[in-house]
Amino acid sequence: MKETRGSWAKTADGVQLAEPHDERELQEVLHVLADRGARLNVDLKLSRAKLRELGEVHQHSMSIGVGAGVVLRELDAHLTPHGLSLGPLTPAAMALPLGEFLEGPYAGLRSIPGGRLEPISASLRALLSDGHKLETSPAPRSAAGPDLNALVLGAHGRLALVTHAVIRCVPYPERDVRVACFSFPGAQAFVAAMQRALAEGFWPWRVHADAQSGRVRAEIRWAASVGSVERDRELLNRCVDGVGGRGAGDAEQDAPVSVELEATWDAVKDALDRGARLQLFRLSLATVVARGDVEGLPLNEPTAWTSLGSRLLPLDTRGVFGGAP
Amino acid sequence: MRSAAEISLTQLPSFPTGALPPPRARVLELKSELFAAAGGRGSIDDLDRLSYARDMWPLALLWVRQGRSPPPPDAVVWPGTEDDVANVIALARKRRFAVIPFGAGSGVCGGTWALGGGVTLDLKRFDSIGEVDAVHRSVEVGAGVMGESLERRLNARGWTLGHFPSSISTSTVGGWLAARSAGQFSSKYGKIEDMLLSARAVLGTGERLTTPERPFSGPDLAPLLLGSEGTLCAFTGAKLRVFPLPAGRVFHAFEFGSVEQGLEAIRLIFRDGLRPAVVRLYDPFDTAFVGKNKPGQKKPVTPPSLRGLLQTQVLPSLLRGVTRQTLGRPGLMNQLQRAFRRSRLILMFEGDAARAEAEDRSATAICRQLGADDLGDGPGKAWLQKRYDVSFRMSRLLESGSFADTMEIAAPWESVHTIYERVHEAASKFAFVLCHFSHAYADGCSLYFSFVGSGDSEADMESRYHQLWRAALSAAVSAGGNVSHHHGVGLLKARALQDSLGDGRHALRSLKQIFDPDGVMNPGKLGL
Repeated sequence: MKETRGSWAKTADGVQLAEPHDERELQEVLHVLADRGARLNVDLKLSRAKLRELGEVHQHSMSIGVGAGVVLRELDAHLTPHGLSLGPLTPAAMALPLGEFLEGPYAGLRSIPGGRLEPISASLRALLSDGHKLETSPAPRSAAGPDLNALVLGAHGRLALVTHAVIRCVPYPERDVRVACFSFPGAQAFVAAMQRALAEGFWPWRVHADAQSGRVRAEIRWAASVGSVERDRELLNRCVDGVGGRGAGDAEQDAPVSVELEATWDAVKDALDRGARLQLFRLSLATVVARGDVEGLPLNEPTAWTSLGSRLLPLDTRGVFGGAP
Repeated sequence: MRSAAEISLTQLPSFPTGALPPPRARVLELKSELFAAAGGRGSIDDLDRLSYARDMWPLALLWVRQGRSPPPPDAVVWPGTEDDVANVIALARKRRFAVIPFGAGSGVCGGTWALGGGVTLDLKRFDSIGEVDAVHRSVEVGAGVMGESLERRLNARGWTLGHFPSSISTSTVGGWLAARSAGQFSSKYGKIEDMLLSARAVLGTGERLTTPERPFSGPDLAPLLLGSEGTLCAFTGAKLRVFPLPAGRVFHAFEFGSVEQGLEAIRLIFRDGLRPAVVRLYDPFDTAFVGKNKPGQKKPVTPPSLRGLLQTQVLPSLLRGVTRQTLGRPGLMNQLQRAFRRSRLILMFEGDAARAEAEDRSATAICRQLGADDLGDGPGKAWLQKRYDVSFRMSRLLESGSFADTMEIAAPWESVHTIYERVHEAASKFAFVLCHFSHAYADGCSLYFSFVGSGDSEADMESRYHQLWRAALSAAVSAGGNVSHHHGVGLLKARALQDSLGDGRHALRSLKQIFDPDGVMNPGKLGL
């Protein structure tokens, strides 16, 4: 392919790199690829690092419009003076640009109170393969047809390319981060206590769990608002008491492996039964993100889609989105 | 087949209920093959076709009053297995007729109308309710299970789904999935999409699928099928999250000096991490009417000998006279509303008993800081007792010669009050307008408008009804609201959906092409 305009360059290994400054330039990239029968990630690499828009912070809805190239850790720092934060994301996720967090294996998900997962994005702007724009509504929930955000979230950029998103924030928690340590009579008891607490509204940001001699020691961190410190602690105590657990000293904080995996609670229980030491993030009733020796879906790089997901590939009508689904 | 985006709602076809058009020849000649494909159960009887011709869209209810019906399907079938569903869809693709999935018909947007005929696929035989998996807190259910049956079955085993739409006794799990339903306790338990672990469906291609539970790699198909209102697939079952029955429940009501203060209280409650199951803020005029009956308070007893006469003759004629005079001039009624200022908030916390009480104390502190009057637990308890009644009051209004409808939209907090004012202003020319705010989230909430209007004649009323919807929905969307929070789209909001999608409508049409390449699934809905 031939270099055109300032937004195109060559990488060190000689592969063409497109680095559009805005949506219009990205549209042009897609048109050029389609015209030449070429594909992203195969014939051309794409960087969205220059899509770095940081919009106005909306204090009422705790949201901000952000370009796909903004790195989450930088965004979080930008939010701090506004009294806001991105909430309980994992360490590896914080190092990602927004676009990769939304499109990649993390699928843009964050845990929210009630044990549920929710996309961090209230709405998205993305480009379809034919250059058409997809722009979704920032309403908190909808019944206006299918949720087209799903064409972006976790789709590895194979169906659409996100350029901008309205991000949901949470109140900045630092001064009220709480830590409690407990000892549980076994992995099943630990899992049962955590699930009950999640279902009742407890919102942990991270948990370190360490299995030793049949017991599980856990250090639980959560971000309490000023008014919620006692009600959270009391709930947690009841959930721990209910499974025969008790207070304990500090647990080890390091896990031996740094790759993050999405794992079910069954997998967490099995790992602890085997004596594993785990760091748990993004805790929901469905799954957690874990570091340690646990079975789960690796989140550090895209893995093969389910066959059902592959049914959507014809949405790339011009065949410009490459890479293994 | 024409898309609904191109169909004018004022020109929708209707037929006298006593003289339905006969089933189309191409379906009639397939009758034996069709019924066999559906597992042996089907009907082309006029009574069945008439029963499935409409949902609860108030436009159709106006027509019922005039002895008219939307176009009936050519046939109705009751499949019992996923193979039956797939067989009917395969036949539809081969012989080019429409397939219209049907739950219990409680939709309010025309989502199950057979605009161009076709076969209605009633899924109520998918009525299995599995055992609760207590470890994973889940239950597998058929798409045809009625909401109330499911909740009762779960309650008997110590569990709840936490999903209480006002249509709970007249809606199915499949209908909830198809229209992305929300229940009255959604602020704690979420909408149906938040409860769904996995959905089973038959696509318009005839393929059977089960969406994967997390974790999995790649895009999630479930959000793309939910809310598709039968245009992409027919749901056959679901695995849903369940919760232990709450050990405690706390009610609390407050009255604020204005709607704005009440909205600010809700926003701060959610910002603080509190998750009341019920949050309902009534606008001033609605506040003047809600919670007037205390729990346990007896109504005056009408002697049985007078009940029939009162209910069938005296009250309806009185109401007809009054409503024509008042609701026919809604501007006057809406002006009157300005005399009211106070706005009532009902909260209900449930779950772990001590937690519910602790959350209530925190919410109370927030409301008091905003100067609210504490009304105690009475209004909340009264609301809970009568929470399903309001949907059935609509029929009284219709009997009185008026029309009534509701519009629910969602928006970020920044837009909520502007939408409230603009919709009020836009709709006031055509109907009397009430509003409450519910289904709250950290970043916004739903606005639920109720419209009651009348006209000089049935034709005038229908004209006003259409003008009202155009004005109100347009005002809501232009002020930052979405098209629907939980009623769905159907025919009523098809054009608004397509307009709001903008270029994104291409993505929706591509999905249609992938999952229903022959366009047999519920044509016309969502503008597809």
